[in-house]
Amino acid sequence: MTEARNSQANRKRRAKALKRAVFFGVISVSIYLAVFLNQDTVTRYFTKGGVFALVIIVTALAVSLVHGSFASYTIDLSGIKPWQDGKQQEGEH
Amino acid sequence: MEGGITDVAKEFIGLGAGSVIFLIVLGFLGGLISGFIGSGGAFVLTPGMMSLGVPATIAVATNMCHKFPKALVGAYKRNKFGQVDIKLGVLMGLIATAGVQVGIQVQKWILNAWGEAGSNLYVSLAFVSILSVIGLFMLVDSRKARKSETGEKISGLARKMQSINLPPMIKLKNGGSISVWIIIPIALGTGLLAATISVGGFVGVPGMIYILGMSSLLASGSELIIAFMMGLAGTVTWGLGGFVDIRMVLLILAGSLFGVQVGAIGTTYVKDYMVKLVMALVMLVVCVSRALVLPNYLNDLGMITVSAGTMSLLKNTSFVVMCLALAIGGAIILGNMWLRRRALARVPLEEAKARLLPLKMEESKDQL
Repeated sequence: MTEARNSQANRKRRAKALKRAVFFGVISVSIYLAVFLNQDTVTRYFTKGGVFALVIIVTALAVSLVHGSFASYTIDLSGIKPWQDGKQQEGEH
Repeated sequence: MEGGITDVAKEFIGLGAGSVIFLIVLGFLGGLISGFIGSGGAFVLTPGMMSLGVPATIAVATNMCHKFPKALVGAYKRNKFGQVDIKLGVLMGLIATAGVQVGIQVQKWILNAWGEAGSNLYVSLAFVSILSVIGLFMLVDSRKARKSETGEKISGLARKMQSINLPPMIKLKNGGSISVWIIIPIALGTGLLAATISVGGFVGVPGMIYILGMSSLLASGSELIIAFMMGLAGTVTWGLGGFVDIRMVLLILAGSLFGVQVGAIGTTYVKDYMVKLVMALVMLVVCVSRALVLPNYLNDLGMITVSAGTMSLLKNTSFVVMCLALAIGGAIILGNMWLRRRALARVPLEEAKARLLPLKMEESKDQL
């Protein structure tokens, strides 16, 4: 009974993770397409210097959030999960 | 961040399919190493970009810009595993950022005194001398830790340092406290090395382990905060001059944001000494790579004579060996994860499930 409930909860979690991976993946691909389909314009503006340094930082942070989330959900769906012993070792040290 | 940034030509190359794949793969491997040992992924990116025809200044600026978002994601992930001392990381990050400025001034002074060949020789000598000494020491220590049944121990030097009660003192996450006056030279050295060879962590992480008395996992996790702060400051500097190629930043991030998270997860699969072992091996292989090009710079300075063919061969071999350092590090990390997962497959299913850290996927704050 408990096993069935756990299995159902697991399936739900995976489905949720898959939805989020697709969501962040689509945004991530859109950002990359927007940049590379307009790379001449993007390069021209991003290399103007001065206040455009802020645009570079904001862009890098936005990509780290979106693409980083996509990567995190994808890694999780692939079954690569943290191992508990690592945390125990750290605590013992 | 070598040299002046207002007097060099800006040249942004076209990116073909081969270059795109190259940058993504390089980014993944660099991220994997950084997520695992806290730094070390960046050293191959500058020469890697230069091998595509990117001018040195643009390559250094772009490398710096990809570093801070990658380190931020890595630090976030490692913090979830309890492997980051945020207070110490921020303090060392601030001091290391000042150290970067000192390093830039040293570079400029050498550049003015001995020209580009002299500067290259200085960078290579720094690589070879620092990495060989620290790398060998860490290799021996990791082998000792591997044989020891009690696991990682605080070094005698760190115990002495922790006993010095010179205010202001800062509490360490894994117990004990240390004087800020002892932290300052380590953080300054980290920044100085970052400005010289792009990887401050080769001094920062061993410094935190052997002088401050932190565990390898905590030191490498906290190093990511230092890398984030130095990367952000460097990006502002280079960005103001318009030297960052955002296209290459995004391509490297496409791979490194995967790599850094896999590397961070990898730390939960291994014992502390593995961090030291991977760091030592990467340092020593990079050391060999830089030693190979020393004759080229000595030739440029007129100290020895080397033929053009030999110089080209040495330069190419050096780059291949540098890529090998990344590949060796990546293979050890992924290999250990795979072995541990195989061991996991042998234990009963219920026990195995219980030993995997439960990820709360429904909470978006827990994900990046």
